[in-house]
Amino acid sequence: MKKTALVVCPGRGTYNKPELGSISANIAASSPKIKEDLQSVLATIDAEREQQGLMTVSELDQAKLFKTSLHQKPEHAAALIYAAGYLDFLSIDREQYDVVALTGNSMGWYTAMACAEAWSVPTSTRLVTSMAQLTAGGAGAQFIYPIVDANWRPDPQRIALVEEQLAKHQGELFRSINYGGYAVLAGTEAACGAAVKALPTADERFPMVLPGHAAFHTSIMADAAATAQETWPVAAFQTPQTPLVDGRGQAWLTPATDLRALQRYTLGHQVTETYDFSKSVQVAVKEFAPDHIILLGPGSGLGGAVAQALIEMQWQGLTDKASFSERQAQAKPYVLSMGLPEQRALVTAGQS
Amino acid sequence: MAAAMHPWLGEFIQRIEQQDLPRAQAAGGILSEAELVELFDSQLASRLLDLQSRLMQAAGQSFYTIGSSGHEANAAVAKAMRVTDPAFLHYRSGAFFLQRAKQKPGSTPLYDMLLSFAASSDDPISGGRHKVLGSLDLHIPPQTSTIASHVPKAMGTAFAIGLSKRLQHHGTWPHDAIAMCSFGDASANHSTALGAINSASWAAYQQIPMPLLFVCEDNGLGISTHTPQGWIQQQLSQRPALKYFFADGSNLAETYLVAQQAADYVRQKRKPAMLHLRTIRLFGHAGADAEVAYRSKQEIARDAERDPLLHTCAALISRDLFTHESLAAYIRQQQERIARVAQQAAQQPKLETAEQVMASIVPPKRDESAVPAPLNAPQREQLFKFDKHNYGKRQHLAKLLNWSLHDLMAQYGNIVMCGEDIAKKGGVYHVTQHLMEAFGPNRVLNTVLDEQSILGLAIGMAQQGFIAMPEIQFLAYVHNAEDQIRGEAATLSFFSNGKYTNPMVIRIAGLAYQRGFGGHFHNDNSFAVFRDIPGVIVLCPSNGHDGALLMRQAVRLAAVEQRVVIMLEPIALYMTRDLHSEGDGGWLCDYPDPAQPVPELGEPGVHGDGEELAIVSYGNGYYLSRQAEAKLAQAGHKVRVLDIRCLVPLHTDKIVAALGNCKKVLIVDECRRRGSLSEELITALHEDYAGRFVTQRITAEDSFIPLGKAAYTVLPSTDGIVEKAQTMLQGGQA
Repeated sequence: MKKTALVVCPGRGTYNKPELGSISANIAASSPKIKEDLQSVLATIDAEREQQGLMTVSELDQAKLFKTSLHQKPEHAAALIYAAGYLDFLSIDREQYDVVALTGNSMGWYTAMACAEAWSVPTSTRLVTSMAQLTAGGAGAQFIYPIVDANWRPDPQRIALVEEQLAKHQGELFRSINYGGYAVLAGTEAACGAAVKALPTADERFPMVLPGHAAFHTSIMADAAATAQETWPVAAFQTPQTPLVDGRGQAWLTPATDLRALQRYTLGHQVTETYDFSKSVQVAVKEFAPDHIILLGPGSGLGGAVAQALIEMQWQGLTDKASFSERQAQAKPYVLSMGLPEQRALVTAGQS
Repeated sequence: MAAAMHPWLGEFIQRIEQQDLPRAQAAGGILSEAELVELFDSQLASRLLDLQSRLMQAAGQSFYTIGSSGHEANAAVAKAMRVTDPAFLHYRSGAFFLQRAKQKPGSTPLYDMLLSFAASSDDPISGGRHKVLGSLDLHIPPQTSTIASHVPKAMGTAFAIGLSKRLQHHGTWPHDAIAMCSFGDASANHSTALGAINSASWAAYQQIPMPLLFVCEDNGLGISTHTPQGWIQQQLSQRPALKYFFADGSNLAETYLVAQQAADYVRQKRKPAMLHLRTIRLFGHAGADAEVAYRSKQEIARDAERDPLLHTCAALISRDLFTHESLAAYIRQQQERIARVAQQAAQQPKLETAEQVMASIVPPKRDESAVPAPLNAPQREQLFKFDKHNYGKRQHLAKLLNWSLHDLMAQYGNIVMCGEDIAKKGGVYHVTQHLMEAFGPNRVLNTVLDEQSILGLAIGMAQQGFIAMPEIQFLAYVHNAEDQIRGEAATLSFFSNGKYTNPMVIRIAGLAYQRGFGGHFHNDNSFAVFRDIPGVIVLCPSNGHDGALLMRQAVRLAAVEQRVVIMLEPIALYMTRDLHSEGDGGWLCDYPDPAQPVPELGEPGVHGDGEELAIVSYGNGYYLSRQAEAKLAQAGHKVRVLDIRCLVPLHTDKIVAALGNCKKVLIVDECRRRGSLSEELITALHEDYAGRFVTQRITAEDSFIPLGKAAYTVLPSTDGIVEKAQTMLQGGQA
């Protein structure tokens, strides 16, 4: 009996040192029936990169050393994250899983759009690179701060601290991403600096400024959004083949979609307004009730945020970190992260 | 294993696979491909939810199967409106709800509706109390109405939207919103619907803004009773100032086009319109209804051919959006999806205790900032200039109520009064005199002569953010409209889990003892109709001092606690000046300063500290008891008299505390022996304080009130109270 799955695509900052070489390794480990397809898709992505005069994803992934200055350069990092995610998506065993909906976090929305076939592979490749250049080149900064306690339950005190900073720097500091148990805030350098200074240290490493990040998902990105909409016309968009749930918790339908609206959302609202990742996960599980949630790579960092979004609404008896861990300890966990080898094996073709 | 499929769906899919669809209707360029698919998705989901609810009921997971099947054209009506247009929906509006949810990102209509089917306490609107279509975010106040009782408040809301604009009041709904109200063809005959439609026309006819879109979804049947052919069109198309539109609900594009025209007309002209939407009813009235018992097979089959879903399927295929195969597969996929969501919803928690069920009877409290600052001394001096010759002197009840209303309307800029003859005339008993002059015609409104409309107007205004203060001219007149309080105003918080409220103070002139005036209709002495309504408060002042204090308390209860409060004002005491003898002025009072604290809710007024006997009463009964007390005092008896003041709910603990050491309690109730609050009080004194009190009561007879002096033969009298008290004081029981 096939299982239904919601697929979630990761955002920026997910391809790091441990992920170096993972794209080629995953292809090498894939089942013979899809290996060629994956190689061909990667070749298409690489070809597009070459045409743009950029290092290919293969070159970056197969580099001997992980260099922050190279791999975390926005146009490289975005391409790696998109390629890893999209190739993971293609690796899901469709004999076992019906993908009933797609969503993503932040730039993971672009990967989700690619998975839904809203763009061709060449378009996706160029678009993620161009959006990374446009937005990362923008002004401002971004940082992250926890709003849950050690048990992943909402922490009213931490929530209040975040609210206080948002109120204090109104118009300069914004809610950038609602990311499960974390508030990602962004704004002007000055506002972020002041807020980071004012917030008490939490869990030893927060508030954490995200290096190289600009004021993503805020009005500071308005120019980038305007340029993006001029660069990527409606004609570049195709009707999604799988329902998508966006960063507002809005579902986009198949088999006909208002492509102008999809373009405006993707390159407008999505760029300049809060990306509510928690809401997108919550809406997707409520409205599609999947048997599993599959998290694409690279990495496995998305699991915590997804779990925290579920815990926030007490989904299926998940009330804290312990109940989530217990659920995950089952033979076939509810959340399947393709960045974890044992869970990847449960998802991919020919390896289960 | 695939999810269980309702047999009807199996046949429907088979029909698509066999390419047995009607010819696609001409759609012109009205709906884009994406729009058509979007509407189809809502229509299909609505149908699948209906079928799922039947499967859930069979599995003991759902409790209410009345559905929307055949009415799915209302999705197009939703699309023609804005999400911020308040929609008062009847129970066949699943597709409307689903379509509107598409206008509000983050909505989860499938899950929410299935939670509602499963009566789960997680249901975001009713909290598991009813299967209602409602949502705060979607601006759909929940309705449980089955008989058009929601139509008056939709009319009231439309009026209130216009009023907000005129008063520059920031309402719940924007100034350019329109209200929408749907009902069936059978309900279109109900006097409640007709009254509200009439009121909308009455207002629009005199150019009063009434942005209201009525949608009559005409499936030709009221349970088993056929609506005569052409009746709805004849009935609804020829009303003054009400523009009539018609659409065939089987034709999605036509419905959308006409709904858009109707909604645009209402929005631009700020006038009401009636959209007559021809629909069909599939699967009978509700789960257990076997329509073959009263409809011919041919008739049922004919309707099935007009199934809106069937016609939308034909349109999708004719526009190459689906093949027959891919459409069948899509429908199966959606059915499986809804079955999965249903499975999740059915497992969610239910209400388990009476406390949980009752938690939303009383609305949530607002903070004290809902109380604006009172006027300062110079402002008040200016305010009361109109009555400067009387101000500062002791006055009767009507006058002090009038003054308190002046103070309150000046303090609370969002109080709006409405009723028959309350404006320029100042009410039949002058209680609202001069208020229109002081606060303008937008805040003191003369209404059409229809109590259902008056109360519906009040509910609408309250939902729009005003403190509504409707007046019912005589207690007897409320009885034909009581459902607007019982079934609507009082239930709103309960069925919306406190999300929607309609705070108001309903002023009602009532009770008997009017000298030389009226008969039954003007001397009604029964308010039993309010006594069993959960959450409603009834206050009754017997004198001017308490009148002012209780009016302030009533407004505060509405403003802060969002309560529905009834001020029952004893007509016979409005102008009463004397207590014991002509000219003694014993019933005149000083106007309490606005800074004086109001009594705690339920705290009785107490006269005297005698402990031989306590007389417990209210209204006219209290007045008579005070006369009796004086006579008993002359005979050397020390008696105290309690004025209950808060009649519903009875605060027995506070009454008992005020009894002090009195063991003998005489209850004087001017209402009937059967059904009056004396029954409740005597029961409480015996049940909760067994053996502590010796109780007796004097009540009105179980009679209607006749004309003239004969009225006093069936009502308690001073002498009767004295006589009964003396018997008790002498130790007798009779």
